[in-house]
Amino acid sequence: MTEKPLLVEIKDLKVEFDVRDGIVKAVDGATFEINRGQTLGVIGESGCGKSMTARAIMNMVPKPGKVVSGEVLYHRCIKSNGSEVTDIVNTVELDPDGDLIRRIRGGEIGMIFQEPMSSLTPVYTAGSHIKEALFLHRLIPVKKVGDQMADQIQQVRHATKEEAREIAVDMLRRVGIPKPEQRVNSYPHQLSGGQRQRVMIAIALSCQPVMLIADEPTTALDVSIEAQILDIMRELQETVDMAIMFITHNLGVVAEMAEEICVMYMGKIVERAPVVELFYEPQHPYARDLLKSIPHVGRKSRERLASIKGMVPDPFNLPSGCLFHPRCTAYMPGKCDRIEPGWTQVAENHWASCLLYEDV
Amino acid sequence: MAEEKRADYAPPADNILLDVRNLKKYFPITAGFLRRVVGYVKAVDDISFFVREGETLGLVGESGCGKTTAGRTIIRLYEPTGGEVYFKTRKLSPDSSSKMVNLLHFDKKQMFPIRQEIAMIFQDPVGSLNPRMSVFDIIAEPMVIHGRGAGPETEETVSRLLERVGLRPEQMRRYPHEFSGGQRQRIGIARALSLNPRLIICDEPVSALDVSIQAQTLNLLQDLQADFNLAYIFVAHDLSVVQHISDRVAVMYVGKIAEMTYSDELYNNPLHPYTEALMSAVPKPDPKYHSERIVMQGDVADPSNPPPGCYFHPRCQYAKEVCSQETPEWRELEPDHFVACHRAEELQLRGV
Repeated sequence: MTEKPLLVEIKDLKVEFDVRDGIVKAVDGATFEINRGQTLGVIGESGCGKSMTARAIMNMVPKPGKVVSGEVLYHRCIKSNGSEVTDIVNTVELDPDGDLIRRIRGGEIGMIFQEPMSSLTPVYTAGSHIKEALFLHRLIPVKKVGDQMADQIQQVRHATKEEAREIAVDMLRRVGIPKPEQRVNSYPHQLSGGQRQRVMIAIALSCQPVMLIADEPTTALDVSIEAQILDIMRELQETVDMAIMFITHNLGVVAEMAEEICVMYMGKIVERAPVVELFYEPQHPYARDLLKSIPHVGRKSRERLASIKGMVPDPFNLPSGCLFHPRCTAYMPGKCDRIEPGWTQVAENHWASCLLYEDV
Repeated sequence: MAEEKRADYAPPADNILLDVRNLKKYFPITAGFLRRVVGYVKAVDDISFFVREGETLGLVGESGCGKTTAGRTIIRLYEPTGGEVYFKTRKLSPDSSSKMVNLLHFDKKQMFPIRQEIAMIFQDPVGSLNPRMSVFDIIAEPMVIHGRGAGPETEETVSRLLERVGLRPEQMRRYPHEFSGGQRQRIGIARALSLNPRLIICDEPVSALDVSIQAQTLNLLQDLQADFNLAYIFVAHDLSVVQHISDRVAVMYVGKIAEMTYSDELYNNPLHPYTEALMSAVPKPDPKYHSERIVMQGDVADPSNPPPGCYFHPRCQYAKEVCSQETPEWRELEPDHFVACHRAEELQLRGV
């Protein structure tokens, strides 16, 4: 496998929420990169900052949240006069209502949200949702008749109504919705949960993004529909060479989809490894326990599950040192409760944030 | 003939706690000003199963297949349309000996003592606890209703229950919003235990919880089962969770049970094509595991307008002509392995 070019670099990202009771560190120093065409899985329990990381990439952190430090470097690829130039944009520094970020959001980085029920507007049809995105972002090359340099794009224009409708129908067909010519005129309440989520995917993919952020895209769906959606995403990824950031708490889904995985706990990335290594040789005690605590289909039933003791700590009253130490099975008194672990490379492409792998 | 068929799957009488036969629940669809009934949603359509004492029966299926309705109809939170529900109760005889009774023939007053023996745990740990009641009130309420909750011993019972589910007794004066999702589910479990039930209907008890909390809750349910000899009907859509906790599993599809057998048997040797497809669709938490997934085409059948014959035939890759014409019979193909499929004998299906 050749090394793919970088697409998004996230460096020491910190997102904080200043609320009445204090400051919640939703994301606390996340660092990772995503290459073109790669699928990165982000796993962790609710409230660990997975969704906020994704929103920070899009510069969409909801109030009162704020990106307090760090950068998200998006390597934008601009085609001009047939040559490609890479322009590096720090999305978190852009004006959230500015022209450029609005072009990136939806146009270059697509996003699928968790709730297929509430992320579509009930008063618009499936088709108009897709068309809205198309009118904003998709540009159609103008080819003059007899132009010798037809594949060299000189001019672009916005899609016409008829073209947009055609593309919308085509997108619905590609995501596997039956009778797309009729369904394009359906309102969200006329579609089932799985179909709504497919419409969401169609919206996100209609503008041919270079990266797709999928925030728990299948959590609300049944396994049979989930399987269909995952197949569609993989198929589309192969045809358009798109990077996917797959956020989920379902370890089964991530094992199937991702090439590389980041495990998050309390706003920090605690381990990062290629998928096989993470599942077979997890290094961080949290990742290890998390993997042990899920029941496996086909394994002997009625055995006790290994569970992680205790609960996720109160965000206003964080433990000292390593945030996981009160629940950790490898807790080293005097060390883990005092020293904050750094970021250690334990194998090739495999990092963990744990004092077990540091000389202290 | 009908009597004979029933005799086929009549379970051994000795340790059966609950025996559900041909249970039906149809919800009417009304239209127009006069609310005329124009059709029925067959949420539960002629299902039969049984639960033995101290065992867990898992009820799985896709959303809208009627698994929750089935659970609720048993304790008559919904009035059933037809069928029989036999329950072995100890509350009706003075010497508390066991007696099989048909719950569906009982009126509200007769049902009342039996409600002590069947409890329920709900899916949504936020919505199922009254925010204006303290934990003590929530857990003591069933005891008060059944006239057992007077005096200082109630407080003792509540603190014992809280300890049993892994909460601290001094938390009993707090209110639900002060607890996390996993803790609230523990409160719901403590409430279900408060009357020493023999059967608990767990309606998706862990699907709103995070993975690590889910494991703790499942372990707690197993421990309680061992301690109190509880039987569970465990309704869930997560097949791995159901397999983990259940002794036997029933797979539902559009209001009917497609297959019911021991959990390991179901996962290793399925007899119904729907079971096979459903299990192949579960994402396995193992990146090295690659199997051919059977992708079911289309969506779940509409329970108000189901297809003729076997409800699964439009999505079934093995469907033959007979499948679209005749409703498959519910039969015991192997000992304790029930299936409703025309081609169950000839098909070689793969498990996980």
